[in-house]
Order: sequence, then C-alpha cells, then structure tokens
Amino acid sequence: MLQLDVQLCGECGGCVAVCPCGALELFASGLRIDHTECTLCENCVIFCPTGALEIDSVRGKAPSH
Amino acid sequence: MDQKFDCIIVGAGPAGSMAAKTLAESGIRVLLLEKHPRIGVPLACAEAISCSGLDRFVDPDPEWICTRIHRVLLVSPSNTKLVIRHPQAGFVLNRKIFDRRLAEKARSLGAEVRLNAAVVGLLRTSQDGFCGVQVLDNGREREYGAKVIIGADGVESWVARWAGIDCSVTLGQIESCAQSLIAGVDVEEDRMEFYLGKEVAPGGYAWVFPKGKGIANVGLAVTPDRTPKKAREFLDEFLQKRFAGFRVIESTMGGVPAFDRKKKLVKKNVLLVGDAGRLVDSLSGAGISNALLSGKIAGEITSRFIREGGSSFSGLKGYEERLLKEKGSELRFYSYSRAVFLKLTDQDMDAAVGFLGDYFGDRVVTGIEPIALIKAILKSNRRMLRLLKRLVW
Repeated sequence: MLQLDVQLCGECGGCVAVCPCGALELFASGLRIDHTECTLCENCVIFCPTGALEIDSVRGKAPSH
Repeated sequence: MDQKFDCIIVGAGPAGSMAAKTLAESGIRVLLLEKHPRIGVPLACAEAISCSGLDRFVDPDPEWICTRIHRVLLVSPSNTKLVIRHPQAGFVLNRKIFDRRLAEKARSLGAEVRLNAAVVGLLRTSQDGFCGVQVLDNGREREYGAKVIIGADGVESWVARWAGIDCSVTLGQIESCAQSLIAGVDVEEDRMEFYLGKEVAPGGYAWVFPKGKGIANVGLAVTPDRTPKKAREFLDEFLQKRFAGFRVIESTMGGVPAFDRKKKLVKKNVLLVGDAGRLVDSLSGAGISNALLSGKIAGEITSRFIREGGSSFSGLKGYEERLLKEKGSELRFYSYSRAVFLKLTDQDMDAAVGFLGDYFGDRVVTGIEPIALIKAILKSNRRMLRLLKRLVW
C-alpha cells in the first residue's frame, strides 16, 4: 500500500499530477490517497522531492476490492 | 444551486486572480475560489520573473518587488563561471504579497473572493458541458452555478480531470523541485545564480535568487526519472557546498510541468490557465508571466462569450487559439530546447557556457532575445545541432 509520511510532505501537488489513475488529491488539510484507485505504479514515489511517499514493502500489494 | 455566477475560477494564484480581475473589470459576475485559508500560502515558486513578463500586466510595486536583477551568474559543471550583465534582466518577487494584491484588485473591481473554499467536483448539465461546481465552502457543502469555469488549480489540476481533459504527466515531463528560503547569507542582491551539471541537479539546474537583506530563494529542479536521489537531498548538498552558514526560514517542494503541445486548454465551457494548462517555459521552468497572460486572455474571451449570450461553446475556443497564436511558437521552442538540454552531457554544458562567454564578452546586454540566444548556442556545437535536428525535424 502507498504510504505517506506527512512530516516530509511539502504539499506541492506534483504527485497528483503524475498519478495516472487519479488516486491522489491535495486538500488544504493535506494529501489524500484513494487506495482503491492506486495501482502502485510508483510514479508519485519517483517524483516526490522529499521521499514522503513510498510503497509499504511488507504489505506491498493493492488491497483487493 | 446556492448561488449563481457568470464565471467561477478555481484557484487564486496569479493566473486565477488575473482572470478574475479581467472579468470583474468588464462587469462580469465572477467568483474566485481558493482552497487555502490564505492566498499565497503555501507557495511553491522561485518567484523570479523577467521585466517584460511583468511590466505588460502590472506596474512593478516596491511593496512586492524584493530585488531587481542586473546580472546573471552561470556556473558550468566544471565550475567555469560566467557573468552576464543585463540591466533589465528581471525581478525577484514576494509572491505572498503579490498574489494577495492581485486578488484584492479583483475583489475591489467586483469579484467575489472566497478563501477556505475547496472545489470537490464539477456539476454537469443535462445536455452538454458544465453548469457549476461543488464546493466545501468553509466546511459547508455548497453548489455554485456558472456559465464558464476556469481551472487555475495548478499542476495537480483536478478541474482538468473532472472536465475530461487528458492531463496525465509522465515522469519525463515534470521537474521535481526543492527550495529553501534561507537567511544570513552573503549574496549579491542584483545577481541571480544558476548552476549546471549532473552532480548538482541531473536534468535540471540549481538557482540562487536574492530577495535582499541576506535572504535568498535557493532551490533546484531534477528530472525525477534520472536519479533515485531526491531533489531534497540534492538541495541539502548544494546548500552546504554553496554557503558557509545559513538559516532555513522555510522549505517548499514543487512539481514544474513541461509544456505539452498536445494538451487541450479548453473543453466545452471549461478553460485551463497557468500551470493547470502546463503553460510553462519548459527550459527555465518560468511560469508566472504565462500564468498572467493566460488568465488575462481567458478573462477577455470569457467576458465576450458571456456578453454575447454564451450559447455556443465554440466561442471559448478562441482562448486557446489566441494564447497559442501569441505564445505557442515560444512554448514549443522551449519544449524542444528542454529535450535537447536533457541529452546534454556535462561536457556539452561546459562547452555551452564557454560559448556564451565568447558570445557576450564584457559587453552590457540591453535585451536578450532568448530564442535567438538558444539557437546560437545550439549552432555553436555540432553535437547539439545534431540533437536538435533529430528532435525537431
């Protein structure tokens, strides 16, 4: 599952732009991840300037829905 | 519908506020929505703009002009330094103030401005197009109607997605940026600094933009698929290397999109301006001037559309046509230039900086025609010329 470290997040919105499936949305209150939409493609992980996003390697697969 | 307007603008950055100001000026009922409780915060911007990019839209005001830039320092990967003297190079702004003043101007002309109002979706009409927005207005769910919706919601534009405009950005089309506002440094107040090289910022560059009183925006951009290392780590290293001592006031991150000619700016009655439309100079990453220009043109076209009764959406296509007529060739040229830039080795960049040293010599530059200059650089080196030819033709 995609994990966000809120301490590191600069709320810049770049991850939202590179997300091909619309799983991320930036609110004034912070970044929101829709895990049902996330395909774990890692675009946001690669883009993030701070390393605030990463794929949890232990549970590293998408939840089934 | 809780309230109806002629036009709703999503996002109160320079593009949105300029559109709101232009519409309000011509007597159109306009609502400007900003999701954050304050305008200009958080800011993801290096705050530099060329003189010509600013002058034509607003008169420079000492209240938000931090510094005037007369010199540009370029540092090549092998540490060759070149200073270009250019008295009219540009400004470093205080965008927290600039953005607020622009929004206040729009409000004073009659625009309604709401802060802490996040748009969460667009409302569709039963026939064609969109008739308004769903908003979380200070925590309350509201629906506001409009004949035209302008998306000025930045690089992450959800207005584009909701309108069905393809807005996917590949990792090669966006720069991953980190910047710190630092204090207590000895930087020359009329000089911008640019640093090149894969050690400093692969697929990008580092900048030092003085804001006066020993304060500076120091940041860098990297192309994210070039390196596993994060922009933030490159910045930490650059700061340590460039400055003996400094204090970080705040740090910001950002995504700077590259212009994509294939991307649409209008769909039905939704228009995209500024970063939302990826109207960025792809080589330098500069976007404020294009944001102001696109906001102004979008405002003018929307105003005419509404005054003429607003029946056929085709009138709104005029926005994209006029903007691209004025800026299209420049935006496309910078896009090609970026493609060439991304193929340059450190040795190529050293050669380009060397060429510039010969090109400018000691003369004071009165005006730089960037396209002519880039063409000259590319022509100066056979390898670069070959790269350009392969990309363009």
